[in-house]
Amino acid sequence: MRKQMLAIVLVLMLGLCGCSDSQTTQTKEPTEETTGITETAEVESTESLLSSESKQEDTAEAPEIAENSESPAQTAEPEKTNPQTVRNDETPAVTAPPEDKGDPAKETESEKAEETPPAETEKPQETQPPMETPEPQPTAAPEETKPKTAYDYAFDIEAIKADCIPIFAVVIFLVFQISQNWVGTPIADFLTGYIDTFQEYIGGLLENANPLLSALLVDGIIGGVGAVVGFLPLVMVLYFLIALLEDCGYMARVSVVLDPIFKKVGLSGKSVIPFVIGIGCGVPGIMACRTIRNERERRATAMLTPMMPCGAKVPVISLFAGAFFGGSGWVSTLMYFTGLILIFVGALVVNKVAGYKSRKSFFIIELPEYKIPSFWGAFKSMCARGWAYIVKAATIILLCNTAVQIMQTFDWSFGVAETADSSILATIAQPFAYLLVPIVGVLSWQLAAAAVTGFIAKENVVGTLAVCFVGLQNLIDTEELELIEGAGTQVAGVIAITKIAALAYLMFNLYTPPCFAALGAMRSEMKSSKWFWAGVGFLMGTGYTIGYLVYTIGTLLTAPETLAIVPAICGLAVVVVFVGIIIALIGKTNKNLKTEYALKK
Amino acid sequence: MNIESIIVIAVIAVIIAGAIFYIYKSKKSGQKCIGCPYANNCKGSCCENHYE
Repeated sequence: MRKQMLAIVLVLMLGLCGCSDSQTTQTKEPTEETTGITETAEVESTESLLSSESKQEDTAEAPEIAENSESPAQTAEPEKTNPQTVRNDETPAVTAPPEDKGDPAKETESEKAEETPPAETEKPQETQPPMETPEPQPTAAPEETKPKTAYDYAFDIEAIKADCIPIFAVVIFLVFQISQNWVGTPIADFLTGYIDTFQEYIGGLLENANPLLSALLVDGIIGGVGAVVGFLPLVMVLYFLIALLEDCGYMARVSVVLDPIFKKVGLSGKSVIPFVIGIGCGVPGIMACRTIRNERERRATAMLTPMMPCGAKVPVISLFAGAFFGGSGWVSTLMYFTGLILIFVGALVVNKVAGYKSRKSFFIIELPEYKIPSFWGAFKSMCARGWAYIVKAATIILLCNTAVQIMQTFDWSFGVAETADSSILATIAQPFAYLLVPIVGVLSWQLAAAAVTGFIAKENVVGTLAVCFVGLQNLIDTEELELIEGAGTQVAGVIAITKIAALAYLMFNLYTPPCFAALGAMRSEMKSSKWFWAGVGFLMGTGYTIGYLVYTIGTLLTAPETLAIVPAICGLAVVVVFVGIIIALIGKTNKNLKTEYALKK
Repeated sequence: MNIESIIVIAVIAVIIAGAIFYIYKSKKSGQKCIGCPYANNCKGSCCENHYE
């Protein structure tokens, strides 16, 4: 089986090598010549890449081009082998305002470049023709004064774009199929079996110990950390495959191909990688934002990456899909597509609020040569990231699980809570329950507690529901975090909310901030408290708004008589405040920009 | 309170103290991302070395 999987991966890699440019060997020499230059030497802009009419730089001129990287208007301008017009419809605005006034030192070269007035877009022929030139192409003859070079065809992304997007979809599907079904799951089952055995063994040793202490150690610490570590094989296989894709040069192509799509909402092709990784886990997805050099794009991408349903959200989706929708596959598909739509909408909002609507950033990347990836390198990368995952589980998540377990066990007098309703957790969750009424239609501290503990780790939503709802613990396998077969209807009956409310609650949980670890990663990548808190607020507002709209509109369409008016109005007020804040920020930004432009005049 | 309970308390205390100590040590050494594989190479933040 493993050999088959390996063979599939190899065939996939080889297929990718063949599906696109086969003449990229020409890029290797200039890459080697650009020693002392940044690894992502800005050899060419996307604009020039994506233009089938444009001419690329002469490979022998790479060092000179790199020197010009301070001015992308010049770097974007290839040194042509023939005097053809370069399409410059995405040339940045001439008098764009500074991007980050409070943090000017962190502006990247490309940001600086955005402020540089565009240089002339044509240059006379300055360099010798490329060393290797292909046979003249008759099809290009009517429009070209000279035949295209091999280099032109090697980077004629426009020509292969139509094929690349379906290939990308297939590759991503295979990555998740391999990591979450074919390879990751069997290993995870194997590992989970050992963790369960260890947990039972420790539980057996502590039969005579105080039950509270025993529960804290066995269920809270070992069970909590074990549940997170149980996902480790899935995550590590995902890391391994992503590392292979990066190493073989495929992800760079994906970024280039998807760049025009993301540019429409103010991001760039580099944002694709965090979003893809974010499907596996939000934390490495957000960490992957560090490859984005543009400060605003990096922050916006880090802010929006948690909207992709990550692996930790899969148990939540599975629970609600199984309990309320008969395990329908459309639920998870809908969640992923809704996440994508929210990312695009969110990027547009961030673009408007940040005030860069008149700017267009350059996405400049050197396309590496396609090659057979290094399995050893991918293995080392996988191990490093896996170790980080374990360390995080053994520190932050361990402490959080311990705290939750204690709060579930004791009341405010630090005596053992007689009922779950009197526990510290229930007391804390009660105010949040009122906030959730417009989304779920009922006052339920259990649902609120699950949502609150979900901010620690999304898997906690399932576990907390199992603990808080009397009778539900027999219907949910808390070890596997999944429904017991045939228990879906009973779970729906115990939770006692409608299907629309379940969908709304699910969406609220999926599109609000995923976990503290992801928030920490966001804070680290954004390097700005203002952006971080704005991001948290935006995620919270978006999750609440989407949940409210789904519940209210869905209830109005299906059973309008069941819609409670007062909670609906209260929810509407919250949504209006959220939207109003965004509109006010956009207005303020526009006003500032207007003032700034006026001063420059 | 029997001996098993005391052992459990001790084990829990050691685990929690170890986790807190690790976090404290990491924060003190300048790491912002606990467990980040690149944290040891960072200057103030685990992200700065990877922009280039």
